[in-house]
Amino acid sequence: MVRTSEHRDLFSGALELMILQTLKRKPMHGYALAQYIKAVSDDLLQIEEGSLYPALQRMLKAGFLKSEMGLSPRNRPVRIFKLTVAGCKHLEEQRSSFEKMFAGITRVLAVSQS
Amino acid sequence: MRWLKQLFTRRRRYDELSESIREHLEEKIADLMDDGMTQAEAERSARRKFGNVTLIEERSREVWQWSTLESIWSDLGYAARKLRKSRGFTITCLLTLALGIGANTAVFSTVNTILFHPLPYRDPGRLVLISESLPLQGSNDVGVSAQEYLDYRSQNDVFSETAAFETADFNLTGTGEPRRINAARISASALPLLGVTPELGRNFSPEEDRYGSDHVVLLSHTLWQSQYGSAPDIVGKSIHLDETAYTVIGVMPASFRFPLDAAPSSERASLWLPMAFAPNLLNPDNRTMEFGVGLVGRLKPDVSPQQVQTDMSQIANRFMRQYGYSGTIRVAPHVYPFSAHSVERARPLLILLAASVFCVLLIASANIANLLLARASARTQEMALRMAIGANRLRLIRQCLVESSLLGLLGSIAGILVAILLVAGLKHFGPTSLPRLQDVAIHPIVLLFAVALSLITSLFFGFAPAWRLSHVPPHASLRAARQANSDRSGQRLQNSAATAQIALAFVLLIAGGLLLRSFTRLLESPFGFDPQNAFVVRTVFDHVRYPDPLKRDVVQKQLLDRLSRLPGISAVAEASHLPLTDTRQIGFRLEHAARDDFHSAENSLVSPGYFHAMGNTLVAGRDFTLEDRRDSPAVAIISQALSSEYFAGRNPIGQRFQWGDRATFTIVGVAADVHVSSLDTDPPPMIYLDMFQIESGVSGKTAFILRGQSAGPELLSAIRGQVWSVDSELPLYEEATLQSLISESLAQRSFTLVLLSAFAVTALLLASVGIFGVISYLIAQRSSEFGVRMALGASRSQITNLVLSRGTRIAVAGCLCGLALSTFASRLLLSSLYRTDWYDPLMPCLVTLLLFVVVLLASWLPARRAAATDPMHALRNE
Repeated sequence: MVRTSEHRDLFSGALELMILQTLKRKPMHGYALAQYIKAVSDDLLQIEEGSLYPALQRMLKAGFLKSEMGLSPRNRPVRIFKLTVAGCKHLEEQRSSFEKMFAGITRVLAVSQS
Repeated sequence: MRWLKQLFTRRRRYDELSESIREHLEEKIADLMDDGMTQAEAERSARRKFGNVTLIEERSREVWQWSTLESIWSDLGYAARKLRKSRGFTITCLLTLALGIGANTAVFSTVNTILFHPLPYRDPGRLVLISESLPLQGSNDVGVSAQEYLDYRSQNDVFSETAAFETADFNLTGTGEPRRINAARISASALPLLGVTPELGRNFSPEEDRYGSDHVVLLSHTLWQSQYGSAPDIVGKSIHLDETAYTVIGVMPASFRFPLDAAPSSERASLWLPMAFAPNLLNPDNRTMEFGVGLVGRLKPDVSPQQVQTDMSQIANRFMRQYGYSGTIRVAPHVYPFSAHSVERARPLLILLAASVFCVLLIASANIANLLLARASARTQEMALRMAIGANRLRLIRQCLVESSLLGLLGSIAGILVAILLVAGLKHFGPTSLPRLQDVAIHPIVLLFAVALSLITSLFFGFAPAWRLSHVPPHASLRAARQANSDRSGQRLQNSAATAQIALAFVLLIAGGLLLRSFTRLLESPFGFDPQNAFVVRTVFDHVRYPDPLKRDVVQKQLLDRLSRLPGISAVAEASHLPLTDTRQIGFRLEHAARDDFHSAENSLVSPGYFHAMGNTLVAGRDFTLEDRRDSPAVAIISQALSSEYFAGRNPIGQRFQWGDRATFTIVGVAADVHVSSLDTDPPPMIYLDMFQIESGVSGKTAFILRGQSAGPELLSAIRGQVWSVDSELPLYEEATLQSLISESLAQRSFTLVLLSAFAVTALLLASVGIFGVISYLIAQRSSEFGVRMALGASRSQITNLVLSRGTRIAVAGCLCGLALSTFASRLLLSSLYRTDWYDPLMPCLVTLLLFVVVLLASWLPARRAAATDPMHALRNE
């Protein structure tokens, strides 16, 4: 599959942020996570499902997440990803910096439109 | 220590990752099947949505790795396996690289050491040597005379300091066996000018640099060690040179080799004395009596060599006017960089070797390029497949790079080993006349250059195909790979590389052939003496021990008589100078010529019977006899060259000439010509004088020549016994057979010949491997085409011809390029050729023939394989 630039419109850190936010609400396994992000974002963000996994591994390595065995809605044994304390803290930091950035961008856009 | 823990838990992490992905897919498939898809449809759809599982797993695993390092490591392992599998390819590549790198490193290190080695002096680049030639007498670089030195010294505006030097030799006695040693006289200004201080003691004072108060010496480090056991209290001790006491005032450092910096150790000065010009040399009447003084100057800042030349010429013109130089006595000063004068003679040889070994490197590179191109094209399919299953472009390029660098690296290691071996061999077998040969060491920059060149070649040609393919979208890569099999540009590249190889091999073969021809011409030309069964050994009857020439004559004749009684000796004679070992010129004036019409000729003082003992023939007149005494009329024997130059069409016997104010000589004989300075220079005009009749500066310095069945090195102890029974203080040195004098004189030439032939043969081998590679590759590519042709009725010989024609085309193009190149290249050879024309038409014909045979052979082997193709098999593969 060739990924054209159209599909690559997530800026760095965005995917992580969304994963962390989602998992903070409720620990999930990979498939559920993918489905959830897709459903919530109303298919606006086209994410290749597989691309979650490198991001998940990165955060496991950084200690923001941990995984443990659990059951899927279909009652199959699956690996559930959970936020750690460090993950919570990281999420807060990231959120505030993202919000500042969005605020900045929104203002600039507003000014240049008027 | 987290990284360590990670390293051990990694396997588990990978397993979990695979599990997670599998779970993900299973859940998804189950969902999709709930939506009504069949199992197969659901699986396909799930995988499409998920993306490339292998790739994603790989990327996720990379999170836990030091990614680049580890993947390079795995690439390396893969590359090593690949190279091991294709053994023929690997061995050919490694041998080529080893030869290319090794030979180049060895030769360029040698060139660097000999030509560009910085002298151990302060700012050596600012030192120049002034030497004059006498153009009207045909003498070059005779140095300057003592008085001229003083004029240049006082009148120049370009030097901050000047110094004079002169070589000398002495009998060193009082330390066991008498020894003949080389020495140099240097002015007191020399050491400050060079920026060198003695490691022990002090420099000469200006007072000691005057005639009469000059009995002081500086010892070389080597002499101090070998003769005086490095005694720390040597300063102030007295040593005996030519029976005269000299006081040691210091010891020079081991690195000090002035003035013959590049000479082999046997010719270097063992001690230094003050210059202290003798009063008779400073007499205005004797201004041009003796040259031979070397003048070194240190350039003032901002002075260019051109300015020095102008200044020197002006000074020379001034003193020539002032002192009335006339006739054939006209001097022309020349300026040389001091570092260059001692290596001047080796320069053409070294440049020739460097150029030819560089050709070998180019051929080796072309060979590597060819091999890698052929291999890469063969692997396009593999690359395409890997790309289709998700390898990215960078990854493929990296794989190619790693593989090529591994090859380059192994080749470089092999090359370094070869270089070390070659340098050792060079030191062992190289001619001793090659200056500084023993100092040669592998030069890191040179090594780096050769290694870099081969790495660049292997990298460039190794990764070119991957690069080309990596620009193709993966779904098209398999098709592209099939197209690449008949890729024109790759073939063109290979063809030109092969053509270049042939062209370079052509040039080297021509060069080798010309040198070989010139060498045989040299051996066929008459030497002027018979080198078989003749042995020579030198001694010196110094003036202090033998102040009376008549008494010396008696001892010498007595010795000749004793030596002639040795068993197996048929003839014995003496000479002050021997052909191919040392030379001496004298200036003479023909009787009735103008007062200032001087000419120069080679000279040797010989005893009666010299011509018989040397195996030379007298073509006219008589030999010297015992009747030619100091009180009888002076006689001379001249060479044919002198006879034909000055007495063409006349009988030279009875003609007379003058040598300085010594005497008027009557010519009594004409001897056959002899090569004096080297075998490849024409025999010069020569004057032989009777050593028992004439006294000169070289009287007493003599070589005994013994001819007979038993004349050889075994005879030395018997000779010693005879000589030392007459005078035990006579040093015996430089013993040699005449045959060895010839081989020594040819050493540099035969060395060049052997090396260049080795290069030419290597080039030929490499080129034939190159051709073989190109043709084999061509056949592999076109096997299905050949199958079709044969199925349509082409005969085997037609197929063979088809293949051979490709080889022939390369050979024709290569030989044409080579011919053009060699017309330029053979000019480099000019100075090394003896009576051989560089455009000798026979040589290109022979070389072309040889190359065609080799090319046809190299293409015939694979062609036979092509013709044996089973058409059915080839077609089935389509």
